[in-house]
Amino acid sequence: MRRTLVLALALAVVAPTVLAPSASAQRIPRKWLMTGVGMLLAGSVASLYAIQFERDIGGCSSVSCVVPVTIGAGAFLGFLIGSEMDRLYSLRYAHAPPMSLHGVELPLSVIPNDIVLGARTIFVTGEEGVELVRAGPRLERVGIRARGLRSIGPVTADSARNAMFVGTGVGLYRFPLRGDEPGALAHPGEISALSADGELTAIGLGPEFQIVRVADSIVPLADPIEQLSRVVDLEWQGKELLWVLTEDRLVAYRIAPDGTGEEAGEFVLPTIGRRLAIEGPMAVVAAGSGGVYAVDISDPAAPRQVANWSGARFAYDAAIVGNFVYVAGGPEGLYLTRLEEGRFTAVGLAREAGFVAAVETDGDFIYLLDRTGGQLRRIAARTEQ
Amino acid sequence: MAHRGSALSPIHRAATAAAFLALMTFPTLGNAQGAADSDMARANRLVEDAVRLASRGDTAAALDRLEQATKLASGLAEAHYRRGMLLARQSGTDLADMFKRRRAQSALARAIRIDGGNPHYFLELGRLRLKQGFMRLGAQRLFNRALRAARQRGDPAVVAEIEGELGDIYFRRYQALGHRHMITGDVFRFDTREALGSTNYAREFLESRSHAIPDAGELDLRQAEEHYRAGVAAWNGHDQATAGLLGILYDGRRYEEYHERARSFARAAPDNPRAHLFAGLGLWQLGRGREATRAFRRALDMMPAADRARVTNLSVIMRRSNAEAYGELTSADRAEYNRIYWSANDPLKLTEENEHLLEHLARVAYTEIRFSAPELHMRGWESDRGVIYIRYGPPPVIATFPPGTSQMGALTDPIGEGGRGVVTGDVMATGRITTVWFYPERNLRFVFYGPPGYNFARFAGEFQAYAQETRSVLPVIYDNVPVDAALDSVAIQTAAFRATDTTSATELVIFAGLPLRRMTEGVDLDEGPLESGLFVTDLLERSIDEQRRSETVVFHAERQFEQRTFVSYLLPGEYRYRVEARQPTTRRAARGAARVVIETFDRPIFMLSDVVLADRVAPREDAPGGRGAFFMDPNPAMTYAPGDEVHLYWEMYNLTPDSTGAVSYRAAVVITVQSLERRGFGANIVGGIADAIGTSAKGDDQVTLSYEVSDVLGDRDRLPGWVAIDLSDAPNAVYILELVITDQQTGQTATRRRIFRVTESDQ
Repeated sequence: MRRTLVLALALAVVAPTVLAPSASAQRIPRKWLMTGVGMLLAGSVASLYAIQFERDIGGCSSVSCVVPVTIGAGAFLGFLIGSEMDRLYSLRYAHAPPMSLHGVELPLSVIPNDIVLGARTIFVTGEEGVELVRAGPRLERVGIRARGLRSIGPVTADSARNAMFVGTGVGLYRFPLRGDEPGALAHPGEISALSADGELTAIGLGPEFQIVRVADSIVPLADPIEQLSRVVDLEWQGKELLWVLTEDRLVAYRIAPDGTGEEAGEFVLPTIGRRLAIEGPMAVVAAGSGGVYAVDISDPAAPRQVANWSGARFAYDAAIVGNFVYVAGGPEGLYLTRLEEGRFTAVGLAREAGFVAAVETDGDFIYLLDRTGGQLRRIAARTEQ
Repeated sequence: MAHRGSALSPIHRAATAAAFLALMTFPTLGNAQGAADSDMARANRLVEDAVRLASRGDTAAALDRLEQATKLASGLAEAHYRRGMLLARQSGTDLADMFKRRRAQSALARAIRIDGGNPHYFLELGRLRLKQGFMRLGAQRLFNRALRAARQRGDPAVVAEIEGELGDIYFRRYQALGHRHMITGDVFRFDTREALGSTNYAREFLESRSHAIPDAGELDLRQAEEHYRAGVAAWNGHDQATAGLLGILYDGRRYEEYHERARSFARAAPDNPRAHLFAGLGLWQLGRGREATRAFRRALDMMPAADRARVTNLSVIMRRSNAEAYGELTSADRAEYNRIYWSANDPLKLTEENEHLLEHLARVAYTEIRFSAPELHMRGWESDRGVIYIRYGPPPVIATFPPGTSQMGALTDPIGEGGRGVVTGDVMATGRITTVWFYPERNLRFVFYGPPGYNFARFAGEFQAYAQETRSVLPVIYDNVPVDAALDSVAIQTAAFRATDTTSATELVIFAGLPLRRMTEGVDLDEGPLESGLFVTDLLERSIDEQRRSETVVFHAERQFEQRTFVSYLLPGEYRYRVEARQPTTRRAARGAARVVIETFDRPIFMLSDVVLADRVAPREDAPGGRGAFFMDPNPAMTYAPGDEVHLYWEMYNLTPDSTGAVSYRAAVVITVQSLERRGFGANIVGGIADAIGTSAKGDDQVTLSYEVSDVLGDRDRLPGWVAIDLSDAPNAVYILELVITDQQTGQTATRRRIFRVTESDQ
């Protein structure tokens, strides 16, 4: 009797793992695993009962009744718990399988909002200023600049001029990149986006943008160019082509040396644009609830949607390296997608990345920001095709 | 609470009216295929009659018509459905409504038997089940059937409706598990009575005797979100599904998502005031105050008058006695009172928006999203949790404990009373989730009990009385508003002078010390913009004078205060004034405010201006004719360091000249120390008057300095007086300074007082 019981228990526990195709390749459904665990625990209790059983007092008090009923109940309970776990798993990874992150991480001193990559420095903007992080073999905290400034938005750095420009809701401030000297107001007004190509700098001023030249001071070259909605991101492609992402479109401008701009082409976004990343002829737009748009910008006069992926409930930011697009999914974590043959394919989701609010790349590494965990993380960019 | 007892009835009535509106708007009114059958045709006409009666609010007659219709044509599903819906929506969850609920159930079940493919029938029956205690478990199954039927019919509005209901079911389940804390150590339960009686119990319990279980209830939360999203996808402007989704996004601090979704909702349902209310909440959370103001205003304009009256009702954030008086005001008086209240409570008039008003409306919007329970006819802002949220804002710490834990020991304590077992806790906790809201900074704690599966919780035990006590001390706080967190004080000294022109106005000079050093402490900038302003209102908060300035200032000054002087010309009366300063880059701000009574200087008697306390007063010319002829460095804080000289300036009006045209007066400066620990001090006149003839008198707590002055008035309309006093050995204390001037010609005397402080601190 006891041998049979032990054998049944052992089978119950081992069966799911044996029957599963491969534990390493595919997740064992928890409903079966927990059924086994439930049976095991219930079996232990039943065994104790069987050992101490002396006489049948009627009803279902005999070993032959108690043992199967207890084990059955344990199995059922385990099955229910496991089913819940499976359901949660399927909801968590509805759009991509789980993915692990390997890299380095750094706890930040500021409550972070965004990251900007400089030549050797990473700028993390937050509520308490801009935290400078040196990217070597490890991530090292250099210090905090622009302390005390509120509503910090875009940041750009010009190491040749030893300058860091910090945009806020009330103006653009210039700080020396090295040293602890205080900063100064360089340009008044709301700064919503920034992008520098070395000679010219584009500044988003809410619903318009302006081309300026950065010397000892900021010299506006031409009148601001109005848009229909707020300018949220700017990217230079070469010295003459500027991509302007507004809340409702991605538009290309040919910029003349005198700072004037001529619209070349546009791609209208169905949802609100948030961030823009460009690599070669491909632009990737993180568009919040609209997901991520891949736009072919090889012909600036006619930008063309290549693909859209809305697996992430809300795309906060996106970065592109080769065929891979990393999507900051906020509380869901970091999504990795592959862009090929005109469509996105979800490769994986790293939930351990926390609340990923921003993602940037320098081509070799991916930098991501965990807003609630207050961490900067660096992982190697995936390169295989 | 308003939702208990008789106060339910207006909501109830509103729900009934809503039910009939729903009756009116459903597109199908019986199939015309039975038109040949005269009974069926008559029954259809009765249903139409019932709809009309219901729209007029005649519920009893409508029910009567529907009953007749069901008798006439028992196969008319629409008649059964409408009767069931009417009865269901009229009934609550109370035992008293049991029979009404049963009749509703039977009517709806009959409708389903006749037409099993109509999603409305399943939906309504599911909603009814939600009011039926344990039977509510069957509601989900009914909603799922309704969903299948709705999808088959391709009706997006009903799909959204059902997804909203399913989302609510999962979210209610999540609420029973969310914020769950596991009790550790040798305690078994969170003791509600102890939390009330012992000041530190809640803090200690939450910090050291329990810990939060991460991701508790995540599955239900995710499922709720999936359903809400499906509802929104089916119909973007659907209220219930969108509100549910917005609540999840807001609680998850996914504010960008919240804003985008709320904006989309407002665009899809531009006539829905709730959409604009929710949009305002998101905008305010993102710091976009101007847009939030517009959204809230739009929401209030669109609201039905009854809702608007509730949302704008201030009694919830008033002390009880004030609230009672407020409740007796007419609606017009209440509107005026509201205007005065919010104007007086605007933390910064320099900014366009009223941050406290916006925060209040944002809190109301949140309670509407989170604590409303339509199945119980309960609005969020009237619930116990809603009221506390509106008063004290989002609780920094939330913890829930399961019913089992609360029950253990709540009913019996086997050890107490010799092991006989006594009732030690609140029997109301039985089978209910215990929710604790804790505000650590002020050590406020509120405990609620709520049944699992319902979006409903009431104050636990005596916490209602505790909430009332707390309200009497602290009717409302806005600690979480960013501007309040960075708000400093402006030191102000006001002095009234006779105006130099011929008007009867009084010149009120306001010397303000803006705490620029503190405002720019730790800021990596050399200079930046500084906004400052003077705002004078009457006691009804009507603007009398407003002066705004903007300038660039150097940061990191050595001096604590940056001095600014404002001048306002006011007629005699009582006023409120404020001086504010704001540094836009850092969003740090400061303000000083007080009441001032302005007296006239228009009378033909000897009069004295206020005394200005300064760090330095020196005339620019030989016969100065007024304030403008002096170098003056006022001391707005009226605070001196030990060893500092106290400089005084004042003006005398209507001194009577003698026959040679000379005026003479006697001045006495009486300085009294106001301090518990008194020791002797002395004072000497060290400047300001070359021919001082007074003496310095010493005493334990008072010094009187007096002297006489003669001067020729010439063409001056006033005679300025000034003096510097050395208080070299004066201890750190608060002093009262009294200036008594006697016109030697007439013997008329005028007196002015000031209070100043000697301290080593530079605050």
